[in-house]
Amino acid sequence: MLKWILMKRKLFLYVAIFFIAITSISSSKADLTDAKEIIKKASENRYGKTSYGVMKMQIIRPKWSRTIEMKNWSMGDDYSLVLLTAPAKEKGQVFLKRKKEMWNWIPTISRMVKLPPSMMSQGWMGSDYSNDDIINQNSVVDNYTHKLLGSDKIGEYMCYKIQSTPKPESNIVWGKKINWVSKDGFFMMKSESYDEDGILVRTEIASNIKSFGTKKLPSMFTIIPADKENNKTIFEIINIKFDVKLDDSFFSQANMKRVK
Amino acid sequence: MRYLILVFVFFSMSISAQEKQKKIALEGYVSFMNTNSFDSIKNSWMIDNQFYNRINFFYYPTSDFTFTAQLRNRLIYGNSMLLIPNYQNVIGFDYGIADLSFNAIAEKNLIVNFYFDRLNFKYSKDKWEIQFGRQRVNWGKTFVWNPNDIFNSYSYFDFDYEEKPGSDALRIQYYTGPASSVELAAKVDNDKNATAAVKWLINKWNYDIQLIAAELNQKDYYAGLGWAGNIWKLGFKGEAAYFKPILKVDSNVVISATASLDYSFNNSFYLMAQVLYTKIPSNSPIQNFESYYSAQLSAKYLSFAPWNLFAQASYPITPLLTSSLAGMYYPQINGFFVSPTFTFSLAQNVDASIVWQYFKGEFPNMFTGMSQKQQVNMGFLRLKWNF
Repeated sequence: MLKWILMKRKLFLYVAIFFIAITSISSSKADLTDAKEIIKKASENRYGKTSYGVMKMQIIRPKWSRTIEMKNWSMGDDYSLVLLTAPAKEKGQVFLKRKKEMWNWIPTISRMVKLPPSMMSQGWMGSDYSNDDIINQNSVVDNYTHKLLGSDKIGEYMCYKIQSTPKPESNIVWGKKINWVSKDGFFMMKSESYDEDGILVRTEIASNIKSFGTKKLPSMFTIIPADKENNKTIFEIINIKFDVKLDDSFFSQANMKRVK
Repeated sequence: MRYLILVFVFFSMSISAQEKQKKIALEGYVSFMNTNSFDSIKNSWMIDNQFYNRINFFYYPTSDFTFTAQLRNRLIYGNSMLLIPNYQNVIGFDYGIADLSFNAIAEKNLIVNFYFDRLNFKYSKDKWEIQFGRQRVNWGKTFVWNPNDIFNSYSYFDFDYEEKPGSDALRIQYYTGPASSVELAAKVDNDKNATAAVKWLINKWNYDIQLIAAELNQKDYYAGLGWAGNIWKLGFKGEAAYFKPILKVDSNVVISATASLDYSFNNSFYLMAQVLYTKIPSNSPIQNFESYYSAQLSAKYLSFAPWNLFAQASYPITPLLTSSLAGMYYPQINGFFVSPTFTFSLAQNVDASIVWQYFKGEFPNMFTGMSQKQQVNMGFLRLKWNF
């Protein structure tokens, strides 16, 4: 039973990370001077209405690492179906989200479990993502004031360097963020999060820009906590297809038992 | 039976290479578990050991058909078989109409048993799902006691066998919506008694609600209700059931009802509580704790006491070490059960677990009927590799 409980905690995180990962997709090219506009472009969901992706997340610690892999079908924010494909003992578990409801199919015991809302906001194995990141991700544009600091090169990409400071009325835990958004493609290539005393807490780096079908996007996201340099969480998109043929009837209990 | 198992094992071994074609999937685990039981640490212990290998095999000839075979292979040695009469037959017994359990070795102090607990065909297309053969039909909604889980026998305490035995059944499911369905199921047991049931599942007001009507083992008429939803952020689940004997001379009506609440805090601390009320008939086979622990429970006889309380807390102490504490309380016998569990992730697919089970209560003596204080300790060490 404990296994189920821990499993359930993971799902929302996966789905949310998946959306974070694909939010920075854009193909337009421009030389903008409005910092808010740049951040908005980088944050906009331009991933199409539906998608199917194969993902991998690795938690790396100095003495150990653990990997989890999944397939994800999604349609907007309201519908998603996640099949876990690794690790071995959790392989075959399926999660379904339909608007505000969520179910977990556990094939080993043939049980459909309805998940309570409190299960949906949990982390996994000390992954370096926090719930706050996920919940507030979509509000980056409006909850911060943005200031263009200049240009900087991250890897091969010329980037806008932007400082984002939370508005006083927002409940953001960070003191500020420094974001690097590529001039070509508007990819969020790097992001540093500072606490209220101005001390660096965490760095996120996007890399391995790849073409998936007609779209280009970073396929690897690394999160490094500043106080533990050997700790990392790496999130990788193995494959992704956009605008796949799905409608809301795909996101059903019948399909939870069919997806492979 | 013997040849079937041999063919299956060799077949399973030879197909790993083909697995990439996706028509075939093979998975499972290997575990070793050491069990130590005693009433007091000063007294003599019973020590048992079990090597367990599970092979789950899936064959997908087309996208609509699935063939499943799951084999449970165990090598058991230890004190229990010397002390428990007929132990070999208990291990080798198959509750289904088909005998798919086979003791390859049944010596005084050693048993090797092979057992197919799943062996079925499934057809699944559009709104239909039809499954025939040995399978698990699981209609339970709550965690510990399941008055709606009428197709299975199970024991909460047997944590090492989470898959649980299957039943020899035909199941037809028609999906009336994304989260609603009508399901018909029928099974026949070893004693040739049949169970037939219909389940109607609806999804309304963010709740899953099911209604069940059945005839159980040709002995009882059954009506059941189950639900799963939430109150605020707490999960709220429950099951209720009514059993009425078909024979008019038997007036032992059984009513059971259970409800649970669970909540997961932001730091992954998880709490769950469940309460069960069951009206115990005078002919219940579960009259004391001993039979409660060791017997295969049915949905009809869920406990030996009318009121039962369960609570569990779990927390990941470190990312690799998860802990949980579960407890049951039985007001009638002034008794309780406590079970701390620690699971350590040693590698990507290897886990080590320590599980303790402690019971204390005033149990009636089997012979005199006089109430006397008793306690039982059981300690389990398990190493498990999943593949």
